[in-house]
Amino acid sequence: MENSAEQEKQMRRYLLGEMPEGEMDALDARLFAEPEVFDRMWGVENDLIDNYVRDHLSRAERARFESHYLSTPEHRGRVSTARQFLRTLDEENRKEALEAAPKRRGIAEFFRIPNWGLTAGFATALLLTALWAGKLLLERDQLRNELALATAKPTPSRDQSMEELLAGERSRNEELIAELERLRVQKPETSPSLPSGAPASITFLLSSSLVRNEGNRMQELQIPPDAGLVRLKLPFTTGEYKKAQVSIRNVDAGPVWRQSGLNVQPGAGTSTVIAGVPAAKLPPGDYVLTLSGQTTAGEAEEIDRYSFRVLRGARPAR
Amino acid sequence: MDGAAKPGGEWSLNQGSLEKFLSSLDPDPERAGEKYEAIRIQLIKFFDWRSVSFPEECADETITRVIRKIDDGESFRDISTYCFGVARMVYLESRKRPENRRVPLDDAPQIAAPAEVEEDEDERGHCLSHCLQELPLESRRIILKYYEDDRRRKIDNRAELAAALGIPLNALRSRAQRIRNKLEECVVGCLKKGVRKK
Repeated sequence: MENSAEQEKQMRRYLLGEMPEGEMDALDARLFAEPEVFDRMWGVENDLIDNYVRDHLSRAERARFESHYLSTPEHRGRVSTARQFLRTLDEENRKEALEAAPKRRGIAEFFRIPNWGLTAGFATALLLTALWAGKLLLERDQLRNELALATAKPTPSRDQSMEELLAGERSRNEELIAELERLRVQKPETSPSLPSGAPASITFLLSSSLVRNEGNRMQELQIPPDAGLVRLKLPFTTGEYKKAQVSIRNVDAGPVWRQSGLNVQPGAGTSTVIAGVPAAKLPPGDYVLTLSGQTTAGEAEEIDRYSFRVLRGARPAR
Repeated sequence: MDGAAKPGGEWSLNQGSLEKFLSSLDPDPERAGEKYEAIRIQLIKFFDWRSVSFPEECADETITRVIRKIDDGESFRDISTYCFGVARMVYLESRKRPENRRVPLDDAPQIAAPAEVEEDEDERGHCLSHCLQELPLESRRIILKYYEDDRRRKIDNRAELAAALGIPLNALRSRAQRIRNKLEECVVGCLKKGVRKK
């Protein structure tokens, strides 16, 4: 067992319970006599666990891992910890990549001509938000005054009119929120801390495949060439889930990306999942995104599908 | 006098016998402590890889038996090899215990299996975040880079990390594994505290 690849293959057999007892005894003796063999065995164990968690094992190895390695509570606990650890690690590395991206840009970026279309879109979104916030503040003051009057002289008719007023305000607020979301779909968000015209991440709100936009066209995502991360917001209305899984398939090339354990953000009537996909995983083409929720029984249940087309290059003028 | 023998002839572990064991590992107390820790980890992992329940208790039982032999006046050319021999005996004895009979997960009878503490994923996640924060900065950096998922570049990434730290790849692997082990122990300890509070 001198060749390291061959040795690691034997170690995997040991850990998966596929090695005869005599061979295991021989390897045990080497574990104690040779520190490097011991360290290598430990590394093989950690790699096996990580590959299981990341679903990189073959079907046969996975079955063997589950029936043999997971037969002790210590190993099951270790795999649970590894699952959380790798999820945290992937998040941390994604954050690091985003933070590192602006630093790599040189002084040339300072003199770069800004993208006016993007700036105008962002300014419009900010203006609308400011107007909406101002309107809400005015109406809040109005409601306070009326509440004060109602408290002083409560009458059934005044209470009723206040309730109607409140209901009306709520529905107006919901309309404004929906309008703002529609604007956001048309004008992808950028990180406000970055210089304009140079996003490291870009966000899109996807509609379910059951709902097409005007003219029944597929949703198009214009991803700038220097985008590092594509954040996809996936709203859905059916079912209650705490965690979700997203898988993306290129119509021609097959599966390109998958992530599980995503948090579900509950909302009034609509829940949302946000998936952060490396832009490199989405070259130009047509895609189908499948969103699945994890039930309380731990099973995956398909929630919805989202079709979209990725386009690359400079953002078109609007 | 070692004081290891109780009245009535029964041996028990005490400070004197432990110090004898440590000095047989190395005359320098600090290096002896490091070698003791290394042997203990080897033993724990041996029992763990053999799917023995309570591997730490078996490792401690092994060390206790070796200490007793040394206390009785035996000397060994290679303590590691002797520890392995004793560990094998402890392993074979443990196989006769009902909780160590290995069965597939689906077939494990509910009563015979050791009780598992139930905790939710959120609690484990909180413990993990807390334990990651407790790690020294360099250890945290090592473990996050070493286990980064990039199947094609994993070997290159690890080689680059080893070069950046100025250590060979083998030493990096050993260090990353020990940091990860510390992290796992911290999470287990944190979860136990959480369970005791409930």
